Amino acid sequence: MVAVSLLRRWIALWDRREDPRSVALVRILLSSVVLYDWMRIYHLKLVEPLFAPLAGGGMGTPMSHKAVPWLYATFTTGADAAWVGFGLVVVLTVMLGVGLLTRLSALALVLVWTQLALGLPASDRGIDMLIRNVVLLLAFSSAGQVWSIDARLRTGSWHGDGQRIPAWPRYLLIVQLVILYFTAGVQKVASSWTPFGGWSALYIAMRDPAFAMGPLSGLDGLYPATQFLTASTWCWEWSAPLLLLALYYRDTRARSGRLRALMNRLSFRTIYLLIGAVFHIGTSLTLQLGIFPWAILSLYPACFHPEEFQQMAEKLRISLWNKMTR
Amino acid sequence: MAELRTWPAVRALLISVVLVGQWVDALPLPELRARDLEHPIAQDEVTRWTTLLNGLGVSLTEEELVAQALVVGEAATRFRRASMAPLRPIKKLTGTGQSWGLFAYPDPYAGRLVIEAREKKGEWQVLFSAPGSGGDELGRLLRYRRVRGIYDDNGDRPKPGSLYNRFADWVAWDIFESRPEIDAVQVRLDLVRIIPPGTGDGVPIADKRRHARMRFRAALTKRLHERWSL
Repeated sequence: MVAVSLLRRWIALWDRREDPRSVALVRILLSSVVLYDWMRIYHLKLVEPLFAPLAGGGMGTPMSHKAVPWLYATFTTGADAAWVGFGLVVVLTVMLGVGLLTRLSALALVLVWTQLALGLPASDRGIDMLIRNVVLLLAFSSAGQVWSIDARLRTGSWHGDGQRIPAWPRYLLIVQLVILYFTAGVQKVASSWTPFGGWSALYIAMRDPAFAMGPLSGLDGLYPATQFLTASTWCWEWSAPLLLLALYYRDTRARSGRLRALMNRLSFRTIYLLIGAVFHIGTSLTLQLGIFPWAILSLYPACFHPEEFQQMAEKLRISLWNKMTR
Repeated sequence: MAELRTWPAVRALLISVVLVGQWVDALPLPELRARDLEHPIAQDEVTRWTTLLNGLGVSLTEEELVAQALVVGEAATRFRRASMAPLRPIKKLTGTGQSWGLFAYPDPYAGRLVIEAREKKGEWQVLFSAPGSGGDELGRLLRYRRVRGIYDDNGDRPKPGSLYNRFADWVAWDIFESRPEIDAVQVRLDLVRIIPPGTGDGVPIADKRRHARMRFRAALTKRLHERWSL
């Protein structure tokens, strides 16, 4: 009986519906970050070096793959594949951001982006893979039901018609965030992340010429601070599953239990995400991580129920109105 | 109505399959290969862990620890391959997955990319030395995350592969194109020893040359034109 009850609750969890604002916000923020990255590639004149095959002026050798990627098998002359692929990902990223044929553009973006990644795998980083995970998830979501051209065309309003959408894509976005943080923590087995290596990991990373922001002459004086931050990062990443627990407790706040009450009173979720935001902004100022911090931060709205955004907007509106009429 | 009741169950099942697949993909298994242990940081780790285990009463030599780690690593690799086989076609098509590490092994034997250039019969001048500090075009180019991925992952080893050679070609060509007076470019990777405060003897260790690639304008121009005319 317990198993059946759990199964019913499991099915009911993935059958929930909610307002689309949270996933729409993720869609807009993430596509802005991705578009910025594409523009940076264009501005640095890297389209051909990164995405063209060797004969087209690139560094990659996609034509030597056992199964040549379809983009490179179709556009075989010079750098054509690079420019066609790059043009497509830029257009599809814009379409995803403004919510035009949202699902189709998300799916097509993932497929074309993967082709470009196969052109020169070494230039395709972990964050690119993570973003493709999220964009693929958005393709299965109804993230285009609000704040989109799709919504405007379908309902006559940018805000859509208030139709509720399946909540499971937002839940999976949260799971993605937890997997990212938790496995990042578990993988940190180098002794420099532990007391045996003197908690020196962040110091070493900040000194690595490939990631350092500059010579950082004063870093030695801040060594104890980097040790503290190394230990904090490790603990914070390991505790990522608690975010799921905190969200569950928020969802079932009417039930009893000391731990539930404590975590809700502490607002554990908000504290965890605030630490995360500080961590990401801090690392973006001290390490050269490219779009990584911003792409991850753009997933944070998924951790908030859409009604919370409505409540926040309402509070802001009242506060502004009071200031204006005072 | 029957369909309406069935769909949520089917969806929950599909989501469960996806979740299990993603967690298995993300499992931080020790997929260790013999060549991973050639890296100095791996050798340091072996020494440190052997000392630690011996201190805890586990009698083990470094060789024995390596042998056992390789056995476990091989089993972990086999498990991952077998368990992810059904999902591999989707992963390949969509470029998705959960396999990444965020500074899992900060490298105290890091590499410093140094780009030097020389005019005909002139002196060598440093155009870029990582991390660089200025806002010059070459620095912006080499600090960009995707470009860094090419030289940091592929160049930061005793014998870099063919991709690193192509990277050297590209950097040199980019410099030759923008600076007609330059006749030769050297793309060098130096070994940087990072020693946390209080752990060494206090004497700073100078960078050591790990490897260098030399490119001359005439030879590179000829070679690249041949490549592009194919």
